[in-house]
Amino acid sequence: MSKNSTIHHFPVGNGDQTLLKIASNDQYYYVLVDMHIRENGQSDDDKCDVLSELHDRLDKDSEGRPYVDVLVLTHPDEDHILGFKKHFHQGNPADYVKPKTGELGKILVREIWSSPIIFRRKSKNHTLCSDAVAFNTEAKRRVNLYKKNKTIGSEGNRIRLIGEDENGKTDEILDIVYQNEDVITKLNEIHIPELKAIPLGPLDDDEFEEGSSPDKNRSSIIIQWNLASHGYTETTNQILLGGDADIKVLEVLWDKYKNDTDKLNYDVLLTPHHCSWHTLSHDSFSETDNPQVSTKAKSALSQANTGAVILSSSDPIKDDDSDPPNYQAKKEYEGIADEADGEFKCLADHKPSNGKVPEVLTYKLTRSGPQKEVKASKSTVSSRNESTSTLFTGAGNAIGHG
Amino acid sequence: MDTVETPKGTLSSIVQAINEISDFNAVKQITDITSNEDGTVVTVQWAVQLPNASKRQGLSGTGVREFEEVTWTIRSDYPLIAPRPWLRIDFPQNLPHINPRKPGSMVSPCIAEMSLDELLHSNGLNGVLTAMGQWLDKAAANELHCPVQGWEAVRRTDSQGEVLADTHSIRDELCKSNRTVRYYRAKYIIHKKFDSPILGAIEPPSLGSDNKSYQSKDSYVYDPQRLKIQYTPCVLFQTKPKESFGDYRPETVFDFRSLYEFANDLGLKDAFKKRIQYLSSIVSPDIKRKENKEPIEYFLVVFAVKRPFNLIGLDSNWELLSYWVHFSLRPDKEPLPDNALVKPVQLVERSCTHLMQSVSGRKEDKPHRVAALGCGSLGSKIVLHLGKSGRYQFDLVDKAGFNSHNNARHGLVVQDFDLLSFSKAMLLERELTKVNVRTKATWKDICTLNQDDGFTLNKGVEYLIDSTASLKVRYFLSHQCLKLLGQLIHSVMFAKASMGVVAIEGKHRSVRVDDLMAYLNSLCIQSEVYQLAMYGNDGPKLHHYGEGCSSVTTTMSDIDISLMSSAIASKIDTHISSTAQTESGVLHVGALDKDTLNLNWEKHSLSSTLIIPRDGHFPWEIRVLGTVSEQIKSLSLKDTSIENGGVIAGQVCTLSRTIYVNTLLDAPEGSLRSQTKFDLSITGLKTEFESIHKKTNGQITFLGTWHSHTSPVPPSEKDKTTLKQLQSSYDLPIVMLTYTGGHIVRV
Repeated sequence: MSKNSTIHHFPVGNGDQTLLKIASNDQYYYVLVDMHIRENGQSDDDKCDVLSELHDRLDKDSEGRPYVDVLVLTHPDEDHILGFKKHFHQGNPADYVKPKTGELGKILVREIWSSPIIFRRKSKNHTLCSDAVAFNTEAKRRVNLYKKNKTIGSEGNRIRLIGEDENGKTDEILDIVYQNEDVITKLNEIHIPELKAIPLGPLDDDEFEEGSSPDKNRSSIIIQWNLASHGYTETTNQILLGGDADIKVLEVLWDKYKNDTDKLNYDVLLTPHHCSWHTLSHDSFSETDNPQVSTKAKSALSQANTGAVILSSSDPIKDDDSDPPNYQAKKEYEGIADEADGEFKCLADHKPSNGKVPEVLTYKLTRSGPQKEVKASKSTVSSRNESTSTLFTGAGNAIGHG
Repeated sequence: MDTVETPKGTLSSIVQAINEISDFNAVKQITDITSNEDGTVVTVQWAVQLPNASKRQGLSGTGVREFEEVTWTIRSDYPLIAPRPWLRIDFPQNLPHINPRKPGSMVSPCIAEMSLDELLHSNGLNGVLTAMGQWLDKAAANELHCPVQGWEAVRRTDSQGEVLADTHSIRDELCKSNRTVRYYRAKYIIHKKFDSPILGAIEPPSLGSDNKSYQSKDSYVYDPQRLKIQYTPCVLFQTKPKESFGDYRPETVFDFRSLYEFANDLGLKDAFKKRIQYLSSIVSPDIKRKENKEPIEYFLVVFAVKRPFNLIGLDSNWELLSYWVHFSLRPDKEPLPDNALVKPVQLVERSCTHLMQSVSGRKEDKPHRVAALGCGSLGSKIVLHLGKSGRYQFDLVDKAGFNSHNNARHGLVVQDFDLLSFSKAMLLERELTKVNVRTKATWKDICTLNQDDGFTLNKGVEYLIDSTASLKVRYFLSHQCLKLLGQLIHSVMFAKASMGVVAIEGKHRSVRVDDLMAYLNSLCIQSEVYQLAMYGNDGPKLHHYGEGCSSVTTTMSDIDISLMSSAIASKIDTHISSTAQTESGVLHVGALDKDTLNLNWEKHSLSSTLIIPRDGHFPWEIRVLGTVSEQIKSLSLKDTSIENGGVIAGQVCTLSRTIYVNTLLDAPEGSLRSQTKFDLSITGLKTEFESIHKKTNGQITFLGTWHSHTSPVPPSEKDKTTLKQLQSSYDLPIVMLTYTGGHIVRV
């Protein structure tokens, strides 16, 4: 049976971790957008073991190293990069250290997609957690390799930047910079006919009103991922992932694309900033009597295709003033989803096995758009046999040749 | 959920299956359980995962419902036979991967690429249920057609008979030139005993596009009283190459009207009309009767329809849909009324090299041309192994006929007059031609290659495989065919096929087969396994098999030969398929452990042979094998301040007057090395050579000595004197080599 593209949303609490598993040319290509890998065995034991879940979904290369073809870091906040230092290989791929028996190997990132924020110096508005520092170091290592060799590096040494640096730091490396509205069809230097990824952000500083101060959320990478079913080129799945894009970004996007709303269409939307009220409103939810929703920001997030799913990658959403996730923001998103005959879901509530722990939410990316993937069997014994799709690869009793 | 009772008396295994079905995640409810003559019938309500965009409507764009009724038939011999799923009668038919069915019957989805019974026994009932769920989910998402897996051919419920055709070459023609119409010759018989009454064949290449390319005389009935083979036109219509037809639909053609409508849908209406008119005017029953000839009943129409992606199992997106069109035989009727019977017919791919390449798992655009010198037990098996990969063409050469006793071990089985009439090469050619492997047989002595009274090989020959095990042939190819068209590969087995050898010459014969075989002899000094295999008295003997049959051969079974011959063929295939030839010659030696059947192969690479030509003083050609010349160089350069030296040994071929220097022995104890001289001691040499003679059956013997010079000076007078002394006391030629000035020279 042939391979299918899928999107996997990991329940990581208030944070993002999304894996695109793209089937092309009878192979899988893996794109991880952000990560939030918390340590297990501490205060909250009933959280999903997203590291194991991630490893379960990845392949290993010929040297036994688990890998992703592309790691996209939307912006270097801890809730988007936690776990990078410990669980991902940094440095020359040749220096990869094999794991001890029983341990998970570090994940090799074949190509990084980063915003040019890596060139920004530390400041009051720009502090970095240790994982972000490690990511910055690795990203800069790759940029420097490119500067030195003037050619795209080998796997594990590659980097692409989404957008130009405001201070000209990317001027000499423009060949590895994707600009907004470019149509990206390559992952890790391999052409993927099923893919058209269109970056919409980070926006240039001059697109904002004067005087507005840049912060990390404004530098968030926003990409509309257009994907065709395996073997086709007509894209039938639109996924909008924008990290923590803030309200100003969304308002600019609406101004920019209100006459070209295709760029903002989606079948799956990950709500920016974990269903934060501040993504939708300039008013404080707890301190304002009648906080108003920004029409522009909401319009930018309302371009839902029929049956669209809006996801909150956050802690459970309580009916109180918390933010993020925010209950009123959820209501706004539910309204948008309802208009499109779609649905709103909070990943923390996705517990199809009725257990305590939320589970990874997966959609197949088909010719008819996203289609939820469900476990085929109730029994744990027979779940081993779920993979009928791998009939000839040993899922069941060995079938020989007569 | 209401509980449906299982009928009393239901077998426990079936009850267990029903419980498992009930527990399956997608099964919302069992709605009915009955039994009939087929077994137990379990009807369930199945939850389908609709695409998100269709959830609100509860119905997918392809017509699949959120809850589908699935009926499982569980036979009483379950679990031997897997349960079969059935879907509602009005389940959408325009989806692929549905089994053919009769109108009005339930729909049988094809849920797995393998037999459901095998799936059951591999993955259990859960595997079958999972496959059903995946099938329905894919059907809902319009994902049953996958470009990577391939386009599924049009589903035909009422296919009538089969037509054999070289579909690969037909598709090749379609790709090479775009012509709306092509005529072919076709033939068929009506076999009333079988369910499929019409057995036919199309004979490519096409005759052309013009009407005149198919004429009335091409259509006739051969042997109308007995065989009744009807030679009939086949007309192929090709859709426009730039337009692909991506709507899947089951077969709709059953009469001439529906055939015409199908042609119309494909944009071929005009061409279809005109060509059918033409065919009616030359081959219709009325016309044939007027010509006082037996009328033909059917002719063949084929539509080549371009699909959006390749068909399952093919490297082509041209689907060939063929139909037998039946003429009305009644004189008072039009030959092709609207209701004239049209029978969809299955095209069966004729064996061809492309098909065999696909099955064998390696494809190459250009086949390798190989001359197989010798078509005996080993040669025939090598040729058949290579030939069946679809990547080879052959010149077959063998002077021998096929004897009855050859049937015991040859790759072919031959009987009757064939035994008396054909050579081994011709019989093998006939066999390979059956699967369309291009082959030319030559019934000649290999040793007449390029001779006036002999034969020549195809100019495209890239490799020559000598599998004769004949020393005479090896001598001929080594010493009398100085220039060969391709690279020579020598294959031979020893000791009842417990040892196999593949010797591959270096580029431009830089290392020859005779060099490699001389090297093989030197390996016997160290390897008892090789020594026993080659000289252990387990080789060919004169045998008498049956009446008047005698042969010098080794008695062993087909199994023994097949085991080694397939390994030898694999070594040859790997070599030919690998990168460009190198200067080095290669020797593969495989030894079989008869108890464990473990086969251990060693590979030896030999750099170019150093050739010291014969001259007026010394009428012997000296061939210093690459291994020896490298050793001499290495020992000479180890300490350039003193002269070094030792003993050289090797083989002598008195027929060709060739000396093979293949072994270097350390200088015996007591030899003296200094800046100006090297004095060889002979202590222990006699004993050592007695041992070597024993191990190599006397093939490797003392040849002489070598020594180095510290400065680039020619051989000294002392060297020449020593040589003369040695030569006077030995009946074989003595060789003295000197390493001087970076070269090895003969004294």
